[in-house]
Amino acid sequence: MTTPTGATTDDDSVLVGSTSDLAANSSADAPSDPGFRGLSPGKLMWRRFLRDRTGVVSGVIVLAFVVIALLAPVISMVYGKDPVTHYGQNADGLLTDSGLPMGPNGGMSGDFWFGLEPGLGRDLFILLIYGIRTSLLIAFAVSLLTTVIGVALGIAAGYLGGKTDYLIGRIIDILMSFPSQIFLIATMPVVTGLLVANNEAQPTWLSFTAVTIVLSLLGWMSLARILRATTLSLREREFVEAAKVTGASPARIIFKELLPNLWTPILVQSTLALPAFVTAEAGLSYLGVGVTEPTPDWGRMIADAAQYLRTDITFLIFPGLAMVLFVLAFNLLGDSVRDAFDPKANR
Amino acid sequence: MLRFLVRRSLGALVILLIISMVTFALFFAIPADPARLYCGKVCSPENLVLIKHSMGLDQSVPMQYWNWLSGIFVGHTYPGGDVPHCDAPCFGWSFVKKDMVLDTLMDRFPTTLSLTVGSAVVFLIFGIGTGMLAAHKQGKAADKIASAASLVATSMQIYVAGPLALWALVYSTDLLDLPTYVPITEDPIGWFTGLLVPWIVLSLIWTANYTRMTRSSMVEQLTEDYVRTARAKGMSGTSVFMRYAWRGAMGTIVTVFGIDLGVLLGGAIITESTFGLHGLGELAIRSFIDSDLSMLVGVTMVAATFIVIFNIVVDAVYALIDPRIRLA
Amino acid sequence: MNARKSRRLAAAIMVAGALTVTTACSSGHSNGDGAASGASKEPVKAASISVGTAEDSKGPAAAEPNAKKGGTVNMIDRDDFSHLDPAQIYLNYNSEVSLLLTRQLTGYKYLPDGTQKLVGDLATDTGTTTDGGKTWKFTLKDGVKWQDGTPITSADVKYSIERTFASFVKSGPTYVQTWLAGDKYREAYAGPYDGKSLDAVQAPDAKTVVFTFKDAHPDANFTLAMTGYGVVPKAQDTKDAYDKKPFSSGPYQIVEHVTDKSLDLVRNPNWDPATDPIRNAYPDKWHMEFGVQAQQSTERFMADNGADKLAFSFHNQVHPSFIDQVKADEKLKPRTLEGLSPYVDYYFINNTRIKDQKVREALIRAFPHQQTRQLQGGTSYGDYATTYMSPTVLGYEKSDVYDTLKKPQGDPEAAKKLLTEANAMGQTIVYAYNNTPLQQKVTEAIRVALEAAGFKFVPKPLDAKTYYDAIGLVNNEYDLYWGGWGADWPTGYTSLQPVWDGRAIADGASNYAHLNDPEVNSAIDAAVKIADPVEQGKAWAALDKKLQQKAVSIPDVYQRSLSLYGSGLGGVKYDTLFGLQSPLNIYVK
Repeated sequence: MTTPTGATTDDDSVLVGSTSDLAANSSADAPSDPGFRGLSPGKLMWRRFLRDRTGVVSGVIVLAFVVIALLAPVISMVYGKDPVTHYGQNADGLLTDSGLPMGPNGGMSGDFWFGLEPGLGRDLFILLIYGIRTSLLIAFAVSLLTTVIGVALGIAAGYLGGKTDYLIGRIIDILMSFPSQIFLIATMPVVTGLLVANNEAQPTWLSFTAVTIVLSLLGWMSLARILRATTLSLREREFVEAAKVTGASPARIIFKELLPNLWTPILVQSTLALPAFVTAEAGLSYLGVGVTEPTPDWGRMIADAAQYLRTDITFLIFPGLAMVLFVLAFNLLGDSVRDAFDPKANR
Repeated sequence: MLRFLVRRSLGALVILLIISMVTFALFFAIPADPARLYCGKVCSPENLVLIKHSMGLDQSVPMQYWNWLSGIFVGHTYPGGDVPHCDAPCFGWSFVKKDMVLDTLMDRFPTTLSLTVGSAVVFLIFGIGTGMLAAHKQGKAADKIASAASLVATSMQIYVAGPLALWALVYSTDLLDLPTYVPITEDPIGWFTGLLVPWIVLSLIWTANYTRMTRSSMVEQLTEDYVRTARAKGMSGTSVFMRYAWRGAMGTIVTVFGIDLGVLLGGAIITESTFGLHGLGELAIRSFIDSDLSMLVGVTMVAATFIVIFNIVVDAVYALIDPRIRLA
Repeated sequence: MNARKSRRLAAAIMVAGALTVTTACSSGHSNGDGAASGASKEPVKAASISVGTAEDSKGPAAAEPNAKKGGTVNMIDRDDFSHLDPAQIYLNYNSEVSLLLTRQLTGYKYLPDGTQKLVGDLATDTGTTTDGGKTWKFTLKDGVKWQDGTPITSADVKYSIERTFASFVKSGPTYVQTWLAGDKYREAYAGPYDGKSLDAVQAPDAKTVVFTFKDAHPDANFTLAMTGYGVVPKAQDTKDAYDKKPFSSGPYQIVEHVTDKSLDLVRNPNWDPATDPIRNAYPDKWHMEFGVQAQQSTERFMADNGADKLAFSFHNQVHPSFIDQVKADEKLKPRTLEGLSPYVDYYFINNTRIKDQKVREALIRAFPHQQTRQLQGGTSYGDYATTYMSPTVLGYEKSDVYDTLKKPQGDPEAAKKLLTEANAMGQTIVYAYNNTPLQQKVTEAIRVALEAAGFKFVPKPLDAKTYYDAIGLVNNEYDLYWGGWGADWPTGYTSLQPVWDGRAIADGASNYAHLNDPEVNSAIDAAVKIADPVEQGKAWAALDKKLQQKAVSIPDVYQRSLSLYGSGLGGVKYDTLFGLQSPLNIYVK
């Protein structure tokens, strides 16, 4: 549940340097068509990325996770199990009287590949598959939101400077001084309270939305900081000066001059932040304030499994390993994306 | 230096003040009503009024905030007389724990401190050591193994690694003790064995972080011009490595370590929850669950204070390490 | 208006295991018949609590065979005691420790056959009444003292009752107060702190206390055995802060109490065993440690190492995930305690919203007892309940009007039939639940079963902290919700009256089903007045049957308890009144 904090700041200088190099290529007049002199930065990056074997492999794994998440209903159909049926409770001989799987290794069998969840007796394999959906959906939504907030405030601070910069800078300082775990937890009931209409049934999207909002509120600062720094340096560059002299409006300068040059840090930061959001989301669920039943969720599964350490370790091992693999793939991909954008970086 | 410290300390106070306000506001926005909860099952409206009064909750939120703030300097007497007088520095009385907030915080802090310091020693030594080794042997097998292992370990989360470690080291093998906290003054051996599993898990994850960070900043330093110059002038690889690259990389490491330390000392909720340790993190979540407002504000402020202080310390230390940076 | 609430709710809040917070708590877990599944076949034994004489009330307590004095006993439990001030004590685990620190007018002593008997504790006998229970007179024993050696007087008893009226007393029992001063007793009397005295309790001399109630209460001597009516000395009363460190009248006094961490007790030198028929007080010291999850304590008791050999646990049960293992282990048998707890789980049907009896019957028939019980530990969690009274209550009679024991997994076909007859197919049921990981799962099981029976199921998660508040509102908008109930003393009165008396309906009152049936109300009035305990018991059983026939709610399980203790201890007994391990006879082997 570590939200991306200070640890990413050491990338600042590197990124500023590299983006400015790229920015030199895309001239002031035709930023939307940057490819007229040699290869576009995008293509360069893509080539470098393809040369990075680890990057490609992790990219494929991440893609596989996405595809599995999208195809979950199909997999469920082929596999013949769904995530809401209580197989263990419906049939005799699967769970003991106190709810433990009867079969060895957590009830793993040809029918239940990863075994059964103790208690309700749902199929662990299909729960995991559907759990990817929850994780990815929230992580992507949070990434999107934090990117929007971070970009808006970062550019505003960097470009406008003065009081705006000061204000945004202090807000960031304060938010970064918050003990983030306590605040994530304490904000959940507040946000949930704001969202839910009294005595209506709590729809399933509610806990989704609440988690997304809470993580976004406290997750945009590092991106904003980096973009502010980058914008500050870009602001002084010739092509921006030129645009100003020719009388371009601030909106035009921001959208046509600055933003195209900021895609690199934005993309890199978002890719790096994504696994952090995945783990933060799971952390909230692990503490019991995240996504609720019956939506399958990895963090909640791990929290449940921690109760069965001695008696049913299978229940922990599958979600645990899946989580590690998932985050690892995302981390590797993030590293590779950064390396591809930044040939100076070290690999 | 003095001017820097004064200026930053004032800034920190302002930040803490704002954080305390936000905390107050936020906790009043949480739907549960502490007075109602304290009132218990059989709660007549009249009694609720009395309780609200004795808890000071019948006053406006800004007034309550003022009571809290002034209490730190001059102490606070709760209305109604059911509660002992709270001497300055007063962080309030916990109506749930029936104890002074400050006493509880002091009581919990050693656990968090032990957890943090114990693992920090390990992850600093091993993290920096492995990171330097990897940077030194850049591209060789040792580097590749260290990098891969640290990548896997950073992708572990406490809530995955913690239960797995408990299973592997305690439940299935009985190799180590279940995590508990015994004060080092009472029983140093018990203190050590009781915290061993949490230390191992924390160290594993954090060592990986520091390995990666050390390696990357060392490698970066090694490509800097001044290092190249030194090499070209005939300085030996090892001296360059230690005298130049390490000094350059130390800045980053100190910065990140300072920030991490500040966060860790405020209490790690998931870690303490996973291992059932009663430090500040566990206190925070417990107070949240109990709607123990004064305790929650207290523990939040302690955590925020650590973060803010260590930010200043980091900047000061950074300046000492790197003479190019001037403090103004 | 109240009966002991099972701690499961207050406690089962957030994460499972991950936090130092959770897991169902009064979830008694034990093994009814040793079989792996199915309904418990063991016939439930009705309680046998008797009332003792003045002779029975004389100390010292009956000695345990082979017991010896001395040593330190350890207690490990998940939570610190939420209250130690007698006036605030209502929850069972608080009561259990309070027995070591505080004495009451009456109390329960163990008989060699394992049953319990009501005897005089501070009083020479169990009290006398000459007018059918309206006026009660108690005489204090000689030689009863506070921890500082001053004698405990009738004025102290009177003061202790008076201070339960004070506004800072929030969580104790309120029976005696309402009997003395009416339902709005705080308006009638605000406590002794402004110098006023309560006339309904008199202390004519240093040894005599007289209670004058507004109505007859023939079982008031049971009520005064509640630890909530323990004694507090005026000179030592620190009001709210008294809760952390009470002044002892019992065999032990507090040395140190670190909230949420530990509590250490040593002998109270001024306690005289010759005055006490209840407490054996073998150990010299008690060291109590909190914050130990059920998972950990089970692990520690099974391992039985070092100091854990001398450990027991008031409240921690065998963790559900260990039940199978504990059952299978013969070596653990001698130090396993099991039994029925006084708690019954109900799923209350909101009678103001579901008026059609056929729909209520359909709910009862469709309810998945087996599935929800399996989630909470199976047979060890409890026996399927078919009555509203627990088998531990005097007068309990077995009956099963809706064939729950035949189809504990629910009978969707029968329910469908009833719904069709009622022309209520697709009836919406708003199910309110305590938003914890475990209860989310239980809700899933209920959802599946009710939907199979043709209901439309709408789950409504409630915050655990405010769960009872939310379902306690008279105009709540939920149709079905869980509630646990346990008798405060083992007669039908506290088992049924607080929950089913229609005149008690109010926001926050315990009649969660909002049943207001004149027939039931008058049956309650009639039963209360019967002086003979056995006859009264029969009347309560008849009322129970009537409630079943009216399908007022869904009885779910009679909770059970399954717990372990260390091999170095003897005399650890299961306290059926509280459903916990009793400290009274424990000794170090």
